[in-house]
Amino acid sequence: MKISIQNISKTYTNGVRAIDHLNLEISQGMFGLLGPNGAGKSSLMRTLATLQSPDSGEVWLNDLNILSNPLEYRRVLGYLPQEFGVYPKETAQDLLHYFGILKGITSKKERNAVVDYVLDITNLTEVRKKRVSTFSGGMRQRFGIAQLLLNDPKVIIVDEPTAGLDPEERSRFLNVLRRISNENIVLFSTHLVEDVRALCNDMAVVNKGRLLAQAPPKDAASSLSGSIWETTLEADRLANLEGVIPLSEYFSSTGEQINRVYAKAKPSDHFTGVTPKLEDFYFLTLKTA
Amino acid sequence: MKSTVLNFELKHWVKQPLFYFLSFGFYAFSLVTMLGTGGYFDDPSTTSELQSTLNSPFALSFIGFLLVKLMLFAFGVFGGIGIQRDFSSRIFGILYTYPVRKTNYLGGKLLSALFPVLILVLLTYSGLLTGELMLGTDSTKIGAFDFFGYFIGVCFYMLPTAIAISVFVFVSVGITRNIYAGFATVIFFILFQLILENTLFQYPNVLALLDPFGENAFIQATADWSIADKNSTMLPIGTMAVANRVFWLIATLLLFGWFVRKFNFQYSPFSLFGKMSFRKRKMTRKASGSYTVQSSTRKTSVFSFNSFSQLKQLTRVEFVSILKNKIFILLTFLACLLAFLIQLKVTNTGTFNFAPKTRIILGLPLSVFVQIVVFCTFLTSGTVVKRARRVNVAALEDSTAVTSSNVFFSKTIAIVLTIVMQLVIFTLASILLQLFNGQASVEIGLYAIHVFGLILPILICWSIFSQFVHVLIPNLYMSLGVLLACWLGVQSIEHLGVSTSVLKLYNLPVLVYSDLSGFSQLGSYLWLMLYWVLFSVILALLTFLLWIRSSELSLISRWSIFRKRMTRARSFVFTILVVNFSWLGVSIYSNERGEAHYSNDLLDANLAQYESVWECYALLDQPKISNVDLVLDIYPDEKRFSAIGEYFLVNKEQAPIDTVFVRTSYDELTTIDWQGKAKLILSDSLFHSYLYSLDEPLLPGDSVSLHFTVESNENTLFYRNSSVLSSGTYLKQDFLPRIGYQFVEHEQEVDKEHGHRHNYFHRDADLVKIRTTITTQSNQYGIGPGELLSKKENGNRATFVYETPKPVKFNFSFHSGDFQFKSTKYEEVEIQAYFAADHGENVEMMIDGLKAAAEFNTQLFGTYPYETVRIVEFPHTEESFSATLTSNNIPTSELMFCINQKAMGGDVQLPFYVLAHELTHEWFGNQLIPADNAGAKMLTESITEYITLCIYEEHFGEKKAKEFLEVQYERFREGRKVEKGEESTLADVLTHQEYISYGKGAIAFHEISEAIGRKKFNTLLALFLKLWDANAGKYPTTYDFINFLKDNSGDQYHKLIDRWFLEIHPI
Repeated sequence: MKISIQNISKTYTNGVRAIDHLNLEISQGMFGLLGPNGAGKSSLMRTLATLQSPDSGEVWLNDLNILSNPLEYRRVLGYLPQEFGVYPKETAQDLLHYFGILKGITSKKERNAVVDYVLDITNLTEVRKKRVSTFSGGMRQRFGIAQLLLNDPKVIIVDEPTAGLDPEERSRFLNVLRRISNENIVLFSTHLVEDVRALCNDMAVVNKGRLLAQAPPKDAASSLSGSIWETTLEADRLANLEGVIPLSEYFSSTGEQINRVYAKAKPSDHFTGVTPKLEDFYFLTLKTA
Repeated sequence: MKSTVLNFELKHWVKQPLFYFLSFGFYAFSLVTMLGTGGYFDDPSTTSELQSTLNSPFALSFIGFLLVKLMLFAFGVFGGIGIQRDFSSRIFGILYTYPVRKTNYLGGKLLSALFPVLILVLLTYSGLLTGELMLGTDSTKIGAFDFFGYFIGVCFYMLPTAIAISVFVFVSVGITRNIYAGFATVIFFILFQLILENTLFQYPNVLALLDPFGENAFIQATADWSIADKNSTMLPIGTMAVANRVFWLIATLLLFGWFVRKFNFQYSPFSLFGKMSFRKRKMTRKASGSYTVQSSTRKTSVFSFNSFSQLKQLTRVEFVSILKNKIFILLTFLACLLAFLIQLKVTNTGTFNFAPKTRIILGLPLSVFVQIVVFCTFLTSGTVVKRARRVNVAALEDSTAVTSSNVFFSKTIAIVLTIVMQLVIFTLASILLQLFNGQASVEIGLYAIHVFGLILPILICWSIFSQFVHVLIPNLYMSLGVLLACWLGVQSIEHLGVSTSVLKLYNLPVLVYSDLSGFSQLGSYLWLMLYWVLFSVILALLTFLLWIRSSELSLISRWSIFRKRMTRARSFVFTILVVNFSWLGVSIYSNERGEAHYSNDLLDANLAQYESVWECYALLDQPKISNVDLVLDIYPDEKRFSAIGEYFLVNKEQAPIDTVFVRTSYDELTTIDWQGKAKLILSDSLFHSYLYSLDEPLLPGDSVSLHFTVESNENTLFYRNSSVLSSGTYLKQDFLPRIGYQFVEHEQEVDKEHGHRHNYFHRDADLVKIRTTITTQSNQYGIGPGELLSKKENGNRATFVYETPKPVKFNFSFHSGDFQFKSTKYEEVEIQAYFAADHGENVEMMIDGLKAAAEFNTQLFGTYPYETVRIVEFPHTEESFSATLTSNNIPTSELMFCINQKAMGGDVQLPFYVLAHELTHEWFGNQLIPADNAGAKMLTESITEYITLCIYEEHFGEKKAKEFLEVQYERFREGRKVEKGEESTLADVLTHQEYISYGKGAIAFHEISEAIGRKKFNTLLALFLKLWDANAGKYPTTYDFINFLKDNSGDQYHKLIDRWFLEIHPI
């Protein structure tokens, strides 16, 4: 099972080109979509969730053209947008039943079973009779996952789901995603490289609506082996060094500013070779695009 | 800080298209209202009547009360949106942490909310001012410019009301953080006023004080104003109006002060009930407990899907969501309460009390209920259509595999179900009310047909229209504004000269039901209903095609989606629907315009030409009708009649007559046959006038017979050309041919040469004998003038033959109906009553009235000349009067049979009074017939009212008679207020001045009789009647009566007599 995105473009009526001739293949498993804010991740997600149509291009799920057969595609789709609301006076259980009906589970018996299952898997059973509008951020995101799972989706699209979650919630949320990704396509957008590294077996970097790179995270990091260096040289001096691309900086425990750079060979003795990380790949991709 | 908030909010407003849309809309609406009312769009006309001016302080305030109701929605938007958008945009989470004083924050917000309100009020009055300038002082409806008129309208009435309501809206939205609460608040104000008016009408000061619009205080302040007063520069302000404004100013300040005190910069909305919010916090904490990944396994992954079942379940979800909506509950409750109060008011008019018959409940109470349901539908459909997007759930819902048709239909059906539920509540509540009031027969079938067969489809149409607008316009305020503009605009569209029903959105003829004859105008109602249903089906299809299921809301994207959804099959269906709808519209339009058998406009346009040709024949001596022989065939099933008749015309003049002027009815088809004795020499088919030349002149005292046939015209879709009903047919003498030129004014002075040769009622007939053969369906009873000579049945037809035992006035009534019958005797006179099933409650009281009148009048004025007197019920749809006397028949309105005399207790017994009054006309009206002069009604109605008062006093005692007299005083006082011409003296009272002939007349005769002595006065009346007996062909004028009274009463009473009869003086 794979999603094939073929040369899609989308320009909004205000003139913003959100997706620019993008081609992408997404296979089974967790697929991370990395990109800075405004890169076009959410536009791509909405397009894959059939909430907007591209101006050109095609999107296929195996042999199914999802743009001309959205309804069939939606039967296997689970979508969790970056931000979503809930009806203020509805309990978690009632809302899940409502979404269950929308997703076509018309047998009450079956729906009861499914709702119980998704409440269970997201550990919301205890609070099922509470109003979702009173949930904390993490609980609400889990509710988002619960609704997504109702129709046993084959394609799951989650748009920056961990934003705003505390570390504990975030970790557990990602575990749920990992569990459900075994036999499905999970497209997961984020600007947190760490999430992709921890979860995804494939990833793509996008910016300004264009695909900049696609590679499994492990391969992406290892592809930079022998090219990543750290130095205490100041940033303005680095800029004058030929073949050196500053990637990131951080402060050591002694308060020293350490710059992390890309260079094909060791630029000088002031540089120390380090093991490449996925973050380096991400920054390098953005800077060299 | 306050100015910072204010400036920021003001900048927001000036960028809002909605602000400009509403501002322009209200300016244009008030302008068109002024121009339309001022006749700007009409053809120029002249009138001698006193016109109400539109730019007097009174009129400008009055128009303001109408306009402010239309502006309430805008107050709902402007009042609430400023504070609401801090919540909806979630900026309050940041804003509330700033070091802002709440007085500054709320003050700034409130002032910014009042700014557009002020602009709107000023623009609305600017529209009126522009209208005034455009009409100019040449217009009869525009007086001199009066600044204070505008000042009072704006500053005393409209603006304080607007500010008060906006503050209430502001506070309600601030408390609930829900913009709908603002709309509910404005609706509450409308309903609050209606509830006050329907409960406190007996306490006018309290009503005037509490009315939030100040309208009742205004009415109270100007209650005694004549039209001249209303046109003057007097300011329409009274003590209670000032008190009302102060009361609401204080209430508004107190409310805002309380809100400022209670308001806190808190994340959670502040609760009026502290404990509840505490419990909520506890629940939230508990809900955020520990979290571990469970190891449960999925139990199922293949679902049994049933699209219909999904639709059903989604409908239930939507339906329940509407039912849970507090605003919906509140509006439904208030609608029921208001319908109940209006039902109380229409069945208890203060003077009279009507039984809560089903048709009464299905009249005004249902109509008001339906209006609130329509408004409620605007809100509920807005909620249902927009709620997913409003709370940001749309992305979750839209990406599911549910079909758009199931989403669309589930919402549509849910809205329809709520409407059905509201109508069921209304019906059940009404039935319970009827049972509680002792109504034995509750007409379930009528409820079913009227409420669910005729009203529900149009409400469904409104709901579809409402959904269409909400889908088309994503902005809630804009879509609600458009809906309200359409809803209210329909009521005003006639001001723009649009009269056709095909452009009046969902505006159908008013359904009027009679227990006797069923619905009137049902045919046109059903056709128009079909027309609007077709329109709504088209809208439903468009709504479906425009349904938003995407994150893209731009017009270009939506148009592109629309085109994609418009498949070939849908285009085909759409085309078929549009073609049928258009065809139906065109045929209704042509029916409206073309099928009247005559048009008043056409007659008016040709009147001058007609008069130029025919007026010269007004002075021709004409023979008078002396005998009528008529065969009248009534076909109730076919709603038609035909008649064959013969007149004997007698020359009562001094000279031979060689030319006869014959007029025939406009409504019917008439043929005239002189059997070869006359030739047609001139005719006008538009005015149905024919001039015949007799072959041999008719010598004085000679007679000639005229034969005629009359056929009713067929009824058309929009015009009822035949007076025949399925039951309760009431035909008058109007369909018979008449003699002489018609546009002859009553003689102002007695013609000294000819004396009193014409009576007031008919110039072409003195007293006549009439023999009538009526045939009708065998299941109906036919009634005609005089005594019943024979009755027989032949198959499905029944024949009744009537003849008057003596010559009678040329006022006849012919009836056919499926009647209940009751009969009793007074002396030798048989009193009969013919009435509809279940209308027998007041019959006994009516009979008592007849007996009392017969006894009183017989003793004083001579015996009743018939063997029978009949009370015959006619449908209330046919005539506005209560009853009238025609020979020995008294056609009596259905309304008289529905008065709930039991509930009225000791009040005036209307059925008794009306029947006693009518029978008294046998003496004063039929035996004494006034001459054709002004003041004639003094000799009929004034004397009859006085005698009825005497009968009333004799029957019920002096106290009740005084109460009755008080009603006459009130009648006179109220009538004077609305007099558009000059008030006449009683002696010269004009036909339409009933407040003088009935009200002042009864008082005048009572006062004079009290002075002279009741016994002596009544004896004088009897003598006068004998002196001027119509059987002798003598017709008195009021001056004959006044002189007679003066001659026979005594000099000391002359001043009193002159004062009452010849002077205009306030009582």
